[in-house]
Amino acid sequence: MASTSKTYQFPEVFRLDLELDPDARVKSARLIHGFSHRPVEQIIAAGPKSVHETIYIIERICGLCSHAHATAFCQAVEACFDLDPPLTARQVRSVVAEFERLADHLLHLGEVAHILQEQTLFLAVWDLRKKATATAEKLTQKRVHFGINCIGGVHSAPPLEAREETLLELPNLKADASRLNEIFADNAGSKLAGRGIFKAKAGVLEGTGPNLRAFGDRRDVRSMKPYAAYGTIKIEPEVATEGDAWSRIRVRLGELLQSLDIIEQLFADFDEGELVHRPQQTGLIREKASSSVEAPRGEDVHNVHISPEGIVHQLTITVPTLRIIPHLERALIGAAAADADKIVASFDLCLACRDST
Amino acid sequence: MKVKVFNVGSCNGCDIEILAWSVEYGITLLDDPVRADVYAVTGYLTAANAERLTQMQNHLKLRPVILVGTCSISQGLFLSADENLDRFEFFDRKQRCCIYGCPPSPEEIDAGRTIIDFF
Repeated sequence: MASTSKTYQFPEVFRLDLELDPDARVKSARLIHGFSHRPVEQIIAAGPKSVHETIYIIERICGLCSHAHATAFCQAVEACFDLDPPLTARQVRSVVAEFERLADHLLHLGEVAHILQEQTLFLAVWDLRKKATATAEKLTQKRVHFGINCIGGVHSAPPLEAREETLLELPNLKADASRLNEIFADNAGSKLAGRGIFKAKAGVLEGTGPNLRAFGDRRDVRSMKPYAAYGTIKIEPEVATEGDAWSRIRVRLGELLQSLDIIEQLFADFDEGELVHRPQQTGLIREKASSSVEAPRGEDVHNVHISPEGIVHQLTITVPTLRIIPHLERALIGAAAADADKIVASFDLCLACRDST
Repeated sequence: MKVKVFNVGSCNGCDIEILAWSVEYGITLLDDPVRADVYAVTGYLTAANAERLTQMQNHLKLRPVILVGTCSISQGLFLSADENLDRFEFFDRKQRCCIYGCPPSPEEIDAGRTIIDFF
């Protein structure tokens, strides 16, 4: 039993069962997960938990996309109570979401570089990640679980000096990101091109995400159903056409620049107003609501059912990795067994998300 | 120093910070429990992972252990989960060091290295 793959640096636990034909090609693949099962949905349904308490639990679903989960949950609850977060709160949510996307994509790219045994590439990626997380830390004083969302808005907004510092830092980050684009193409492009092709007709599969955008599916929750402050800015989805491992990486490399561009646009006309929407009287207008956000790996859907007192009866979460795993199993069929680790890495699984629901 | 990380049910938050710690402070992360000097544990112990640890149970008590993050120390948010297992069935209770935080920063995890040197 291979508990953790030998080449992975990131200690996620899963098992990959491959059935091979005589030429060492994969005949069928099955990914077995659930080793880190944390029953988040049961914990919320079992104890009487208020919506405010639940945010803290929701953030601990995943360390990679904790802000995306919290945003989705808060938006669903806001729809139930008919709250409208002010523009400042929306902008802060979007900025933090983009920093999270940067940090997450860079972690994934570092993992891919490590698996390809390109240590210099890994260090180049990690250098940029360190700068990006340091900038995010200056803005929010947090590194992993940002804890910035609350029902109806955000707890805090970055002060003016921090925003100005970030605006000065952004051109450097952009230059680094485009340089990373080039050196990734030089060092890793040929090792990944043509491996693990996964394609479907655009718009057929459920969900969104970089893995679907890698074969020309242009859907992106940020431009499809704009939430937070994404309605106020221009977003051009990053797409590729081949659907192989290299195009999945290329889409993510392109999204680094896209995220930095979004942060720049948001900080250029940042609104300094109220942080939380506090109406004269609040009341439940509907008991059930659903909300979706574009997490770093794709569409993340939260369905909530709450009582008039603000107790969460039930929460159902559809995480992006739920949809990625069957795609990965299909992409592995026909691939050489030696390429399996590269293909698994190119899909960017987040099993902590998957296992906690 | 060579570290083997046991992710026994974490949200990946502590694992990211351990990876950041390893790059910044020159720590080698290994997948091989035999060649590691120290074990790091992240996350609350789930039943599926306990089964995995049982296979190497006799070996795991031979090394000092750093418990990284609140979940691995006191189970944190998941105290009310069904699977409340004792992690010291597998790891050494005496040679341990607890790094609190959700998640602790790389600097805080590095403090654990100093404590481990006293054992």
